[in-house]
Amino acid sequence: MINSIRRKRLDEEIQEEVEFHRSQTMGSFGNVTAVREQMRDASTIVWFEILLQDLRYGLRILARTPGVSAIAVLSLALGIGANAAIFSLLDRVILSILPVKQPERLVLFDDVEPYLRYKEFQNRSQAFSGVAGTASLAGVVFNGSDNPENSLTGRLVSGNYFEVLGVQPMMGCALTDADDTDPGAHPEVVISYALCQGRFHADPTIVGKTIRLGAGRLNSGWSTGGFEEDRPVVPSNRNFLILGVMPQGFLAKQSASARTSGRHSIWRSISCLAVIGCRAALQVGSGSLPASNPPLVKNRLKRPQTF
Amino acid sequence: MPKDTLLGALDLLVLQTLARGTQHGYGITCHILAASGHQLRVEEGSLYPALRRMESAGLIKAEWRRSENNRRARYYQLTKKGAKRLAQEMQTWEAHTAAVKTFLEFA
Repeated sequence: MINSIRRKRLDEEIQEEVEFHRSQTMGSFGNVTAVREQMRDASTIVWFEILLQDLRYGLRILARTPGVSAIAVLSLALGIGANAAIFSLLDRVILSILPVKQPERLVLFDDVEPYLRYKEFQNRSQAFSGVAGTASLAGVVFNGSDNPENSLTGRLVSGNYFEVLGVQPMMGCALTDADDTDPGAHPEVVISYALCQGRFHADPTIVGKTIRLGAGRLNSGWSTGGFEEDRPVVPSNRNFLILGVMPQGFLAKQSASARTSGRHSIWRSISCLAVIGCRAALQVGSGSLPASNPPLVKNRLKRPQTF
Repeated sequence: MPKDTLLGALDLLVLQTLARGTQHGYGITCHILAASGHQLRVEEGSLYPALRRMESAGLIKAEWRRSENNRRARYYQLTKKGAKRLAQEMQTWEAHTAAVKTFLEFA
């Protein structure tokens, strides 16, 4: 291989060796050219030499008809580009999956329930390895400003939310059950990678700092399930401790088609308030709720496209 | 019996020559000629490609040195691998010639 590349030097060496022989024998030597070629073939990897020759030939032919070559290159480029574009589209629409540990085992109960009923369901349910509650928040304002630029997408989540989904924060730690005990006692949030990158300029010491949030409300539709609507979900202008930063791609408004909205996200413990739809499998669990507390909404169990 | 034993005779001659010490191509032809009682004349067209081939195979190695008459010459030297190969070739050759001899005596 090396000999193929240093071809000139090899030729010179062969020439010198043959010359030496001829000088010893008063110029008598067989077919000098043939011997030199055979020597060269024995010293190089012949198929590699031929490959190089073919390559050079191909380039010469291409250079001779630049117009045709350009068209060929262009059509190849377009073909490959179009294929890649279609594939990435399909990949997003069909193949992409939620960024959680076992998305195929995830189900969504999109009924609206008060938080206390969610807790009861969680305690009684035996059909699932874990039941987490969550509700989406709208209008969370960052830094107490009315600037729409400072509005965030958020989620109230039960303490076991991250554990049930099987996701780990990129930095710091996620909310746990310990952060979900007393209403209003846990001013703590986990923020998205995008929020950390954008608003906090990728501050590596972000964990442990505070973020001032306010004015969040439950998305309409979530708040009609029988819990107290007049209590603020996020007390205005309160400082929240940043517990952790989620990895890139994990968003509060998550969807299998990877919508770009809601890229700046927060998650906070729900224990300051009621929430959540998780109830479908009440009948599946060993016990059932007291008759005085019948299901509020008809159960719907479906494959999650979002969470 | 390997098919190329007869072809391998050249390798055997060269390896055996180099087993006596380093030598350049011309020196190898001279030694083979002299040591065979002027019976075996090795063609340049066979010798030099064979030397290159054996060098690629790692049986011998080459370096440029000054010859007796102070010209640059390519000297060949037997490697360990080459010495091993020489022993093998010798055995093969002896078995081969013995077989031919047996045949001729029978016939």
